[in-house]
Amino acid sequence: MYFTRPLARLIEEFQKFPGVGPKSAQRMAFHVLAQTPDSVRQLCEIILEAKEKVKHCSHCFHLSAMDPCEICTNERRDTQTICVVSEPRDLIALERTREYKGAYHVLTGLISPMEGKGPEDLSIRELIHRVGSENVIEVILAISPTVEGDATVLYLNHLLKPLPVKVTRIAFGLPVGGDLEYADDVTLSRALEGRREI
Amino acid sequence: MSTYTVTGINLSTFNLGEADKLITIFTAERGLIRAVAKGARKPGSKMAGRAEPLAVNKLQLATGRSLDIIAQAESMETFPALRQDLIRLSYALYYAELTLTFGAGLSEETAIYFDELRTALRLLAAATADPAWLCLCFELHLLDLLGYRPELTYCVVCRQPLTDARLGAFHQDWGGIICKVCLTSRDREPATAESTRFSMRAAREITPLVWKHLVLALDCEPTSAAGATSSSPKQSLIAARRIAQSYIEHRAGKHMKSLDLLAAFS
Repeated sequence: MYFTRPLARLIEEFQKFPGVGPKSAQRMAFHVLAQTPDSVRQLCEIILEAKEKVKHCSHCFHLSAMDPCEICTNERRDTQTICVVSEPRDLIALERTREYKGAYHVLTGLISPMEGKGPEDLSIRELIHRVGSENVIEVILAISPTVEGDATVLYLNHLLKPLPVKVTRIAFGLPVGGDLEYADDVTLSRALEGRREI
Repeated sequence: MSTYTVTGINLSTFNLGEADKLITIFTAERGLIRAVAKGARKPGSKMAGRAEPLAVNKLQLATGRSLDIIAQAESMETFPALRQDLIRLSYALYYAELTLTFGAGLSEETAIYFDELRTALRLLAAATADPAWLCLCFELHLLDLLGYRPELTYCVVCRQPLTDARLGAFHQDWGGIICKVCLTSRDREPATAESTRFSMRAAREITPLVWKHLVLALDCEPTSAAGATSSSPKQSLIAARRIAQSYIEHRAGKHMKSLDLLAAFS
């Protein structure tokens, strides 16, 4: 036994965090022990508060302490355009660009046959209801060009096609600073497909 | 750090750390391996496209302490057509799940199976035949390589040749068909009947045509099997696939998750 029981449990718990291995977990545990009792208590309270207050918005499924969330209640937003993303993290990435002023819909995941994650596990039904009941003109699918992302886009397109709404997908191709020589076939063919006049 | 070169098909990926991906690859040289693609989740990564499931790459791997690291990857095939058809993509991912499940048991046949899988993905992408038919051919070829080839010519109990009139039920434990005579006599013995698990649903679905198709699929290459699709009734094909799938799941000892999605989309 290298660690006393409470310390070993703390390391064990930190190791459950995504991307945290045994060494990182040890560093985090020792960092907690080096803090004053007040700051550790404050950290625990912050974690609990976040867990209790932050929920999925019942309208767009973004994470927020408000329901409906800040984006859904913002009257300056264009509610006729819905940008569909897979995770709240993607929404935040898009918000950082300050380019998009419309509404969002978070799917809370992607269709993943290998993990047994099907359409019923995502907020797809709610999206279709929104598109059908609200005055939506365009649905932008801002979904990663991965195999799971493509499967989700194909499925969404199949459901959205019969509705009177324009369905678009964000462009993809070569990344800024990327090297053409090293691009793979799929990226290059899609970059060629999505070329535009300059 | 020693390096080695392999040709492999990516089967599944998991996010690892901040920007890495852990990929399970079926290689022609070493069978199933797991390797880390460093920085593959970054948008500018040269590895991003090559780390996607179903991509065929020539890889140079560096031996690591616990996991090998992909040092170089040269893209060979990416099957872009598969990513534009939901049904075909679902079938391709089912092939990948089959390989993940049974790949470790193919120690001596890795090179043969690698070619089979690559050909199966090419045929699926080419969209020249019904994907359900191609899938049945692939499933039966896989069972053949694993040594689980279903017995469809002789009764697995009495070893008498099976004729259309004698077809009984498929028995998963015995890996073949039991003729009507043996099936009836066993039904008369409750103890034996309890110990065996007959699929009554499968028994109802068995028609001589279904088994003729199964035999045909076992004896022919996927390309030539494609020709049989036009004359094969859809119902028989569905029934044959259901039996083959339940036999595969029985052998795997687990449910194939990608089949749920396929059922939802079909």
